[in-house]
Amino acid sequence: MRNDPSADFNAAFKAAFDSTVSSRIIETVPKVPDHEFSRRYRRKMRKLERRSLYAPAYGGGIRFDKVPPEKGSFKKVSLKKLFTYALIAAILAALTALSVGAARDLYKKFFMTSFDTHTVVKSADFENAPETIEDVYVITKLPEGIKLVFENEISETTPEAVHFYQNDTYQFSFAQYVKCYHDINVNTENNPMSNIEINGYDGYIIDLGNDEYYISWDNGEYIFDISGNIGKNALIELAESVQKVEN
Amino acid sequence: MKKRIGILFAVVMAVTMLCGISVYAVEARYIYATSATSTLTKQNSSVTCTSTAQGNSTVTKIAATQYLEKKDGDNWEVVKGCKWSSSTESAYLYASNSKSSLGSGTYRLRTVFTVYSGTSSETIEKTSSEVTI
Repeated sequence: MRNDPSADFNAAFKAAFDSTVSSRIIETVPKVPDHEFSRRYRRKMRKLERRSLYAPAYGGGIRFDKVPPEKGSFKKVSLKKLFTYALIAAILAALTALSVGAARDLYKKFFMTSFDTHTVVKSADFENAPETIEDVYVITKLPEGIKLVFENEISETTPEAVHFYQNDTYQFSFAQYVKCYHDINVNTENNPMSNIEINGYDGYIIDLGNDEYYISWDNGEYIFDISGNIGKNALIELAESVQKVEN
Repeated sequence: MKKRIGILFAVVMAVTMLCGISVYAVEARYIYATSATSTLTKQNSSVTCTSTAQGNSTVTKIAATQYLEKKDGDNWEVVKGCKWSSSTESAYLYASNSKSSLGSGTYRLRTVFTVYSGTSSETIEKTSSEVTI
């Protein structure tokens, strides 16, 4: 077996290079301290490591391709994140309630939108009701000494017939509304509202304080309200005395 | 992620605070007023503007200003000559005014009530449903 002379030369040349030039090159490289990675970089790396532990569905945690996860696999969410998401959802839900600004309640005959200071009440059922004041209703049992001090004129476009009664001590109003136009703000700021029946018709009553009350009901044709400071029972009696004026 | 959650939380809190401020800036109080209506009815090209307000037994005066407004894009503008004021020295106010020969468009009645109880007062506003002519 014959030795290759070029191989010998290469080996000799490498040895010479290593002992001279290589060491000189290394000496020219300045001595620098080991690189310190930034906190942000280390934090991101930790996250990547965590993902690789908790998200096997994505091929080791880091999703390099667009292959969807297998059916049934899911990404684990830490309790801390879950709590954060739940908190955000709760805040957004509260905001939504605020932005709407109203909690809707539905009485049988009324559509109500409640605000902090008042409630807007509209008729929830006016399809077959008259669109004008065709029949006039009045209070038939007025207390003694009470006088009618105001009554409006009725025309084809009048949406309501109103009466205001007064004496030195007491006052109350009575109104008859065309149902399709009924849209009234009633004072429910710190004043409780509850259901009431007037002659079998659905309605509601608001306690305004100081023995003052507001009562409204729907007899199918019209919506009525009566309000004053004559006391709850007296006001209910007045409401129950309301009758259609026969022509 | 935390930074994003922080920013989102800050935005939500800011919006919440703004909502609260706006509510207190716009919402009227109902201390003296019992009820209020503002109704717009039409007949051909004419409308009737009807407003009512009732106060409790401490109320000494009610004043109302009615504005018949026409929709102009996203804004509402008061129809020329259709601002009416009225008042009563009692706890019940009824105001009714009419306007004929209106041009086609969408209208509403906005009524601003001031309810007085001695030297104190409160202002409430009621806007009617829209009516198209």
